[in-house]
Amino acid sequence: MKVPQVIYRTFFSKPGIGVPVNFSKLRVNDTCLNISGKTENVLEAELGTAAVQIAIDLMKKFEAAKQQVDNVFSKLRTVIDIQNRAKGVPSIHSKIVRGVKEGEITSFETAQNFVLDGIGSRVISKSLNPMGKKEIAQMIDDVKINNAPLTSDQKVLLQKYIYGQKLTPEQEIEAFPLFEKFAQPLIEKRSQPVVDNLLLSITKSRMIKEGLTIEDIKAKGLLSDDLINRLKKENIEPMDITLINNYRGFNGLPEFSGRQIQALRKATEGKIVIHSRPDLADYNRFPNTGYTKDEIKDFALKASGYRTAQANIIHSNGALGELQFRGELTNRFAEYEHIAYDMREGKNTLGCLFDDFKEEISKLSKDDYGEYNLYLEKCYNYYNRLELGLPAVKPKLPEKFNQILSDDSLRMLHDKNEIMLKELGKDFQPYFTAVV
Amino acid sequence: MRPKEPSRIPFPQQLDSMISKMKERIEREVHDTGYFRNFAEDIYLNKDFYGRAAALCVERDENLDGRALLLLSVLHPSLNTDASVMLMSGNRDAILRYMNDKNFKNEIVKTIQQLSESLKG
Repeated sequence: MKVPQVIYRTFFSKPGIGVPVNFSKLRVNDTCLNISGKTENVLEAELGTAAVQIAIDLMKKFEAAKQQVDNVFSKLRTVIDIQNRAKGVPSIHSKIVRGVKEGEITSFETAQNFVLDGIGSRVISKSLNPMGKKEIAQMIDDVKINNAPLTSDQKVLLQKYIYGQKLTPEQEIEAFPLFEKFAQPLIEKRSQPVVDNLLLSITKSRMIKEGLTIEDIKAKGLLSDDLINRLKKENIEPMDITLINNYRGFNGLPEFSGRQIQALRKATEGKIVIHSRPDLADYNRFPNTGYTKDEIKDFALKASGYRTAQANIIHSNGALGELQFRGELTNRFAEYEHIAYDMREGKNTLGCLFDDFKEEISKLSKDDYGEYNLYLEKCYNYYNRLELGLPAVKPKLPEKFNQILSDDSLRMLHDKNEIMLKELGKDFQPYFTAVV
Repeated sequence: MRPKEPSRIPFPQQLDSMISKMKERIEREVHDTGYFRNFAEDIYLNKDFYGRAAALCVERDENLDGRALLLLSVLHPSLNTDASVMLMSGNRDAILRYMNDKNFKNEIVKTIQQLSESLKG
């Protein structure tokens, strides 16, 4: 009996970044994914095949998913841009390779479900106008913690923090919760229209799927009266959210305020999980747990200060997506700041322009990487302050680091890379090459 | 400075203690009208869970007077992030009724497991 020949090839969906595939399976669209007992090369190719199949499925669903997000957010006056993309083959491949290593992927379906950000959308909010000293002083006077106004010492501390004056590390720890409370109205001013539309969309979906009525919504106090009126009058696009991440760094402000997160909890009646920071200005959800403040800070140093509100979404056509909410400046910074993180995650999507940067990053010791991340967090906070109309001083990369790691250098590399990719992609057609 | 040490008391007993402390505090601190502070009671989790600790929390409803949200939260081992979910919202009596249900404890254990898993991603 003749054994059918298996043909392995490399698929280039983007210039210069190839993924190995089982071409024979791809040709007949065989989605059976058996990962056990394969040699490393064969497994890579099997996963490459699945990545191509998942990418094709996502492309089919992309337009409708994009339209759904546009319908919810595009008309808001505070939204300046909505960016959408279907995840590409190399990125899907890296992700499912990681999923297999973590034991999360056992079949094609589990691989498909592992790519939670198959369709990625970003809703970018406009910055607020710069604030004057008088406005800031008035806002400091209005701050209340646990329903009590700030003491005069606290006001002085907060003012110093806002204007970036020198503070001891202890004073900074004490000042940050005050700053968070101070900034809450600004956070809400910028993101409330987006949160309102998200609340309406989620509720509309519950009305369709769970039979929730306007009377139920009123009786349970799930939405404000204004939003209930809008729900009655407007044609709302339904949206299913399963999880919200309200990412921020140790001294960073969130994209959504605690009040807005509470509104989202109520609208979903506890049906979504929310990942956020457990110690808030008013109270700590874990008063008896944990390490000392210094140790918490040490943990936080490992993160780059990445800030975004991010929702896992199931689009109406079944595609899994990730919806990110960001300001215009932090979005720009996140585009290139994330390169170091992606590299450490083993994502195979960086071009040759980043070779020197990659080398420099890989040379950093754990402590130095922590210190570098502290610099990145300061950059995030700088851009976020500008978005909120607050005074801000641009952070400097510590002298011990190579300047290639600086904000300006990273942005330049990223921009050059984008131009190069555009140029390469002009007449590019995806293609397969034979594997030796 | 030394880190705070997890308790050696078995998990089921710690859980009972957290629930009972929380009920007492809700009885005492959640008012029918007017302002009250948010509060929480937490316990360390054992090695069966990925999360480091779990907490029951009461948050004052920012829009409805005299109402609160009962949350369950699990802390990431890094202590930076938690995964939380609203168990119910209502006034003091409604929350206590909910917590007195015979299935409450089982539901808590199941939800701690789910939240703990969600932190792995």
